[in-house]
Amino acid sequence: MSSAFVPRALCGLLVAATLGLAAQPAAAHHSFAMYDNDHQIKLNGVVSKFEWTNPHVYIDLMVTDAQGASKPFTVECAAPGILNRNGWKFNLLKPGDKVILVVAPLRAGPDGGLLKEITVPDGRVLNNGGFAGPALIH
Amino acid sequence: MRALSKPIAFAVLFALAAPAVALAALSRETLNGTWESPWPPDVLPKPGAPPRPVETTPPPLKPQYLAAWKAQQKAAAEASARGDAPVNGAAQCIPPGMPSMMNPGFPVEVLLSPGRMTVINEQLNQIRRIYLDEPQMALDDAEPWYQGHSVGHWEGNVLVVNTIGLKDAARMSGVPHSANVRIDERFEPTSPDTFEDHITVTDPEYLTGPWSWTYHYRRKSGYKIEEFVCENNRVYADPKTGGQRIRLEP
Repeated sequence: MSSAFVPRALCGLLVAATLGLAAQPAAAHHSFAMYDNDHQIKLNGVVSKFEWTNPHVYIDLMVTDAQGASKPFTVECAAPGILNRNGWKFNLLKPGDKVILVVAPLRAGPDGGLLKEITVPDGRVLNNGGFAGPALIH
Repeated sequence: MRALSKPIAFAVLFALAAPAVALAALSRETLNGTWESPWPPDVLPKPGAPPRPVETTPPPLKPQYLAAWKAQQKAAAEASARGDAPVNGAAQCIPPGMPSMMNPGFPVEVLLSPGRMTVINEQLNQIRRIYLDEPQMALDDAEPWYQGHSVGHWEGNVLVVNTIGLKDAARMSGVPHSANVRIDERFEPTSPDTFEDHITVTDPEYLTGPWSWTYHYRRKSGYKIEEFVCENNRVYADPKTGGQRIRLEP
């Protein structure tokens, strides 16, 4: 990356912003606009299914809400190639595992979210890569 | 004297040889391998780090097409802000094709073999075959394909590629194109572990002039391209808003 490139790139960013282009890589598989990044929530859950597929990994679990009631919840994660670089592995989770999650919830409903951070059974705290963004609460 | 001259002779020899070694390291073969963006989506950026730059430039659409394109971009941005980002082709497993498939949003593998350079983008398993030292086919013979029809030749270490025959549905940033669209590229190694793809789109029917930008690539050492089965993804369009939704499974 030459130093001459940076101003040009920033210039492109500004032009894109004025045109109303989404400031995310065009090659991303799909938008994360359906998730409310500003109101992240923390959940305790028990894994029912861990689906290791490209372009997205999914975790289906039963979570306990503030009233203590149990309900199904689906969490979307980044691509395997991204997660592998962040300490994940295809067999990281199995049904019955207890996890703690920070997610950006779906705007359209209470039963799903985009993963920001997960505490796995061995105590490690793993993120969901740069494209999904960091946890704002812990 | 003799004891002193030996190390000096070695030093002189090394100084002379070093640029030659660097030059030798940069060859046509440099393009071989697996690549990612220098701004990969893998790692959480450090707080305060600048966002990934947008490498593409705005399309120089003719006025009669520019207004519609801007309106479409604005509508998509507003829908996104409401949480109703429209379902794009990739979410429906439709490949974006050329030139969008050269964006290293997902890792990209380049394979050089006699008479061919093959580019594989992990996203949607998109493949393009660039035939080397062959004349480009007549446009009338070019079946419209998402990746078009590409031929290339070497100019030193730079691979110069021409592509014609793009399918109408192959869209870069939602920009329309005619059957006469052509894409010219220069694949230029810039170090043993970086290269640039300088892209120029020419379409006299839709564009006022050449539309040019550069994608940057950094070697993704040790990475093996993942399988990609798009049909496993859970994105669908909300029947009321058209916005992207995720299929929830109990």
